[in-house]
Amino acid sequence: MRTDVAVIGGGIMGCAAAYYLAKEGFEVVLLEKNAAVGLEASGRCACGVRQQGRKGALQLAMASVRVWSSLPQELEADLEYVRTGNLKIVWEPEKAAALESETTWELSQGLAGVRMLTSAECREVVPGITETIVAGKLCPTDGMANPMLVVPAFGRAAARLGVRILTRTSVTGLLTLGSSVCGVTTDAGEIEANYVINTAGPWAAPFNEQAGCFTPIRPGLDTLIITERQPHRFTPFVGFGWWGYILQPKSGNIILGLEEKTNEAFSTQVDYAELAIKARDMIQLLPWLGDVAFLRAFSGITEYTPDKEPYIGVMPGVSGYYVACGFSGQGFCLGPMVGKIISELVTGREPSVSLEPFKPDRFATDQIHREPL
Amino acid sequence: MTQLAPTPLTVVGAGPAGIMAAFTAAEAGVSVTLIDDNPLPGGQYYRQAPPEFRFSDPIDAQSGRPDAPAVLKKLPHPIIKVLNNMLVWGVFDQHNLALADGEQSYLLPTDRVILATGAYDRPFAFTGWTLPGIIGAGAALRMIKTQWVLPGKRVLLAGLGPLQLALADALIKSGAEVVCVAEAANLMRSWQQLPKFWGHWERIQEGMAYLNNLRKNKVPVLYNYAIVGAFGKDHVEKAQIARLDEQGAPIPGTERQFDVDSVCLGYGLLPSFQLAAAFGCQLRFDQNLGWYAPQHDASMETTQEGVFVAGDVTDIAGAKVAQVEGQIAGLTAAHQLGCISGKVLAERLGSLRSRLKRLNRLAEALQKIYAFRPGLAKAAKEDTLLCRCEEITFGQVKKALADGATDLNQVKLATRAGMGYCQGRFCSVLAAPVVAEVTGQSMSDLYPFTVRPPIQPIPLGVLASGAKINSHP
Repeated sequence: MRTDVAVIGGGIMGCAAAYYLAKEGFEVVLLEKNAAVGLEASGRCACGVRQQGRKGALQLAMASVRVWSSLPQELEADLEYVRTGNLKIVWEPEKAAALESETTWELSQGLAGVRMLTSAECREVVPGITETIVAGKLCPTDGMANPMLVVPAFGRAAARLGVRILTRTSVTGLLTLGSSVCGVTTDAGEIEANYVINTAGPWAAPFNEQAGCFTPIRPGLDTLIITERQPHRFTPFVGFGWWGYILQPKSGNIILGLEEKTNEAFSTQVDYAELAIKARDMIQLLPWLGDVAFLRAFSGITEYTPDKEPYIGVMPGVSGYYVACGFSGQGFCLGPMVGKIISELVTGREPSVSLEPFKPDRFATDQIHREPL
Repeated sequence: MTQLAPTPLTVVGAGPAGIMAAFTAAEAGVSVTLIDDNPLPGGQYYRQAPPEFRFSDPIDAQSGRPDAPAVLKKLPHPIIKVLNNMLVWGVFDQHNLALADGEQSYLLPTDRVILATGAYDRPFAFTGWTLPGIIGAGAALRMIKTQWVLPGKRVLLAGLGPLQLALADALIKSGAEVVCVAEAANLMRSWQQLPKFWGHWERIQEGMAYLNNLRKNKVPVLYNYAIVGAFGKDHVEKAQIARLDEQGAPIPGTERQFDVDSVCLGYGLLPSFQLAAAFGCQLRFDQNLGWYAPQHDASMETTQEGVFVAGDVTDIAGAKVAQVEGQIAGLTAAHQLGCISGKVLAERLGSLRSRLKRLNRLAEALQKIYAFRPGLAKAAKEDTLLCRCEEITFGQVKKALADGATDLNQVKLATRAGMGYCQGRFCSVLAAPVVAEVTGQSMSDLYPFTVRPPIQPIPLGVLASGAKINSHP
């Protein structure tokens, strides 16, 4: 088979890239190992479309939120995208100072409206939350969308533009000719392509290695607990720093997210003993949670780079090959903009957001990250 | 989660199959933990009335079935530990059962397990099926027998199977008017099954007695009819039935309407296979049932070593078959645990299997006569609710399929059908025929929704109990 562009992986990155490339007039084949697109982390994530708290990816997130605002019309689908605000809460006094300086920096970067909340204000926004909360930080333009709707909507929109989505098709390697990538090998045969886009998430690193660039990626495990539907309790997506978050999307179910764990085995197994501990912690924060029944818990495989910033762009000296992987938990929010940027790169335009922090070869000579990974 | 001491054998479900499985294994010397989520053992069939209730006839306190005491008196037993009011909500690492009572959750390590988790009422969707006043036939029978409460004064019965006759009989004897019994089976097509009833005189007599009582009270019993609509403002007031075609689909223009204040639905039972699926046991598609049940061998062992099934969870064949299957599973588990020799096992299995064969002849005849014909799924219309928990219609499911979903799990992700409180028990069986029809797949290719713990919802506080407290917040 021959095509202009072969995209490896049908998560949000792959589907968005395929969509925007097809919009530019490219003939695109999207290769997905599962029965449908969006069945891995992109479709199992916590729904957050957040700008605050990002480091290198703040500008990218801000640009993406601008894309998000017209995405439902663009994809002709209800994505349940709402700007509910994102509230970051801390209970250690020393962390309040860090929140303050984060606010100052983000305002200086152009993230409008982000502001500190007092403990009392936090309790007004999230009724019933424990009084031990010290401070909060609210970004009103952040929000959430339904991951189970977003990725399939991108896939459908891409298919309408002629993208061929080959499901149950695993990419096994790259076809190379000298220093250029000219296609992929799959379990269903070879596909020649002028351009190959690697959006394979946790499974991306071996392809980059084959192209000649070491991109350390560590698989992680992120777990969600879904409760029964509840009457409206609170509006924003609430983050508790490193160990979890809670939200109540449109459906009314409460979603509890747990901190990511290392996951060398690429497992999606839920650790229920761990879950019980987390549930206990969450109930201490929000005592009314104790009486709410939980319906299910599931895990998704996420991917982390050493500095928790993604790899986006080209490899030095390799032609016909573009990467967008290693999103370190930021992919769902960034996806739409990254898809756009990939189409800009392939058409030879200047990317509309600087990709400086995301250079794929930034760890290429880094021996420290080579060893344990 | 609180860790419990390991047990060699756990039996889940204390109905006819579970009690006999636990008793048989215990008699062979195995210490058994018998777990049930009801306040008292007995299951649905031998459901015991609460101890506070007083009955003039002691049989009535034990489900009103004369054969109940013989089973129920197997308990208590010196080496059977019974955990009532205890839910099994998951299984981890194949040998750790996650349990929960109203207060706490526990982890029970077990060597072998017998799943006797029974069955639940098959959902039957039609216009107005969620109106108040429409209840399950099994529930109605229990209301009458153990609570002495009538579901209504003017009752229409619609369903599939002999339970309808028993219910109609009980309703009449308790003073209700039965306006009609709509039986979906077409008995004219089932004469080939008649020889299989030879020898089961008791059952035939029971059926004839019910029919005589219905005839005496001039209750119309319409065969090859199913319910297609229920109407009313806040409560069911009218019920509509229609004649069925060869495939079991309602024929337009054959509708008949009745004034009612209650409808009892009894379209048969479906195996509660969720825990078996959580164990990773293979399910098989049952043609008569039109749905799935765990696969097992002649010793009732599933495709997972040391995991057994017994009773309605695998064959909807009634209490007598369940008891024999329980005994077979109990004996085999006892043998695997080293408590009885291969010789003793072979001897005892021999006689149990021939008994099971005889009982199964009748059970199979009934399963064939009362098979769920594929057309019965067509009583639902576009705007009929398919998923009650998430309020998703048949039309919404069809739209998801038109948008590209190709299996049940994708329909679930696209529509939310199956994400609610029932954990997909009801909506999966209603959605599957739609998926099969639209995508051209056969029902046997559509695996049910992925089963995730908790198998039944439990409060977060119960999950959290016993967990160690972290440093924050």
